[in-house]
Amino acid sequence: MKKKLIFLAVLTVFLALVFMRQNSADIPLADIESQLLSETDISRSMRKSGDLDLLHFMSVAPQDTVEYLYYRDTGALSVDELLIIKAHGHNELGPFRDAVEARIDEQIKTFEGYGPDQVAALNSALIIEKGPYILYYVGPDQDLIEEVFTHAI
Amino acid sequence: MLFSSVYFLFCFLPVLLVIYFAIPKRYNTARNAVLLVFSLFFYSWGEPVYVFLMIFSIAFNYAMALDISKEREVGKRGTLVFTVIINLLILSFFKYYGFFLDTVSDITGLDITYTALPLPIGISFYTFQAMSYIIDVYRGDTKVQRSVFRFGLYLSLFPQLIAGPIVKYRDVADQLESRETGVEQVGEGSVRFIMGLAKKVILANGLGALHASVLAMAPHEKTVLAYWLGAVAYTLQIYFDFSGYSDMAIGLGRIFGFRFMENFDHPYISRSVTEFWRRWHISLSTWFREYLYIPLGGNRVPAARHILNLLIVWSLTGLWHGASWNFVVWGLYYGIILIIEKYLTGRLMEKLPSIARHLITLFIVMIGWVFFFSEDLSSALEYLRTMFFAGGAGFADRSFLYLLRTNFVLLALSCWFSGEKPKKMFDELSRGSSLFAVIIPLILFLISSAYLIFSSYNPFLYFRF
Repeated sequence: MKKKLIFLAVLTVFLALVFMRQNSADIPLADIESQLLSETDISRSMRKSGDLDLLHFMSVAPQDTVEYLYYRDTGALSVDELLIIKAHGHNELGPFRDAVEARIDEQIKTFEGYGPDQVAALNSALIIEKGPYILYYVGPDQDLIEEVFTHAI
Repeated sequence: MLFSSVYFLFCFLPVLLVIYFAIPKRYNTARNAVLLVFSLFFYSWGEPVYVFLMIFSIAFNYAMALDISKEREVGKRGTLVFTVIINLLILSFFKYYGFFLDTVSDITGLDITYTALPLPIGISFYTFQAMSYIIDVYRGDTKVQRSVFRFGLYLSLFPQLIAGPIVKYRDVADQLESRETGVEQVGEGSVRFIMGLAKKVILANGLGALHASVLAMAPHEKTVLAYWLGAVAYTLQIYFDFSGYSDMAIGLGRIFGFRFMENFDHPYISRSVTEFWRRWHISLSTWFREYLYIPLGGNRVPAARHILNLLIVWSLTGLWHGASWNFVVWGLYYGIILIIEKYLTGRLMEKLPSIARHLITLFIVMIGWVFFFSEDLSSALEYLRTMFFAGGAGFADRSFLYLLRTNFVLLALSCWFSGEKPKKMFDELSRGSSLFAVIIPLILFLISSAYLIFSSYNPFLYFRF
């Protein structure tokens, strides 16, 4: 019986810690941004975008997010962009997920027929959801972006 | 870490092989220790914190099994029940907690918010392995393992850790103590591994890209035939993806001296759904049959009870695959079809020509995969509506013809490779010429490596379970 209680106690503590770790992953996007800027090349190839761009390109109203981070390559033939949105909870990510998918569909439609590289990049876009965050990224070094993002939160 | 990743193939595996085979065969304990350390490192690659959950599972099931074997002798089973409950509780905590809250929200109308936890990779697989061990110990089907390291190696052995096959302890118990390793095993295992890698990288990834293209079609491009093409692509993709992974796992196990059970036996040549499930994900079907279906009474019960047993087993099989209603529906879909085959159409089917039975089975399986690949139930129904002319989409258009033309060779090759002939041909020719037996895997390995380096589309479908 004693053995069982010890195992139960260890398990309870572990699950509580995992749960708190996930719940307390309440990192301001500014922190994630500074890690991305220091560990990746996104600032070299992309520019930070604001509310209007978020609405115009992603069809996401800034006020629907807790906060967001949006970088995009402004070149006419580039599809590279990075978006991180923090929602109020994981189960409120649905509309943002839809917005990201719609953006990818729309971009593929735009480049289909004459931009095979762009279409290939869009088809392998990185989309990660973790806790209340969603990350969408099209561009090189996806593994690095994924690593920085997942470690940051 | 993926088997089909450059890092695994050119760093992790070579380093492990060098260290493992540098240890003389007689030091099996040292070899086990190396495998255990590398397996835990492999597991910690994605989400390091969950390696502690794995270590907990090892310690917990090991210790409980010792108690279960003692209790068994005096006819008690309290520890067995406790251990099963805790294992299921851990699985539910990570896998079904969000599903449960979503369902409560939907039923009550309450807006329950929660933070979803990342699913520990392979939790469904290793939890089932742990439960098979403790149940077997209780039943007396296997001796209890006295070494925590050997048991730890069984539970965490990296080839089958994250996507099966679900290896029963009693099948590898002797191999944990001593196993045959040598040039023959390494050669056999390497060929099997490369075949799996080629299935995954050359066929499954290409089919996955085709399926993704259909799903990503703009509303005005959606047509009935395009949706059928998407379903065919996924049907083939999931087979080559999952059986390719199983081949890699079995091959890796062989290299290190283990013999794992076969997980696939050309399921798409089946002539009934019953036969399909004897050939598909054999280790899971066997697990459910042995640890749930038969204890419930199996088929040696009145018809009504038998039907209930099948529905229970298949709804749980669906739920095992994913915490979503479409998986439950997928499981029940098969439960109902198996009941119909058993009680209504079985004899009628036998009278049909073989080709008709084959086509009917493929049709049923393909419809099932729609529930499987859809994000939720409504998406699955929407997809099926379009497939059956009820979605308002046209019959075909240029986008469909473009996809068909550009993927025709891949689809034709995949259909052929899903049958028995290619394997038989390879085995026969290999027996006749050892050069052939070496050259073909080598070429496949080079092609697969090239695909890996130049392509980024590389998901494993069964990792999410």
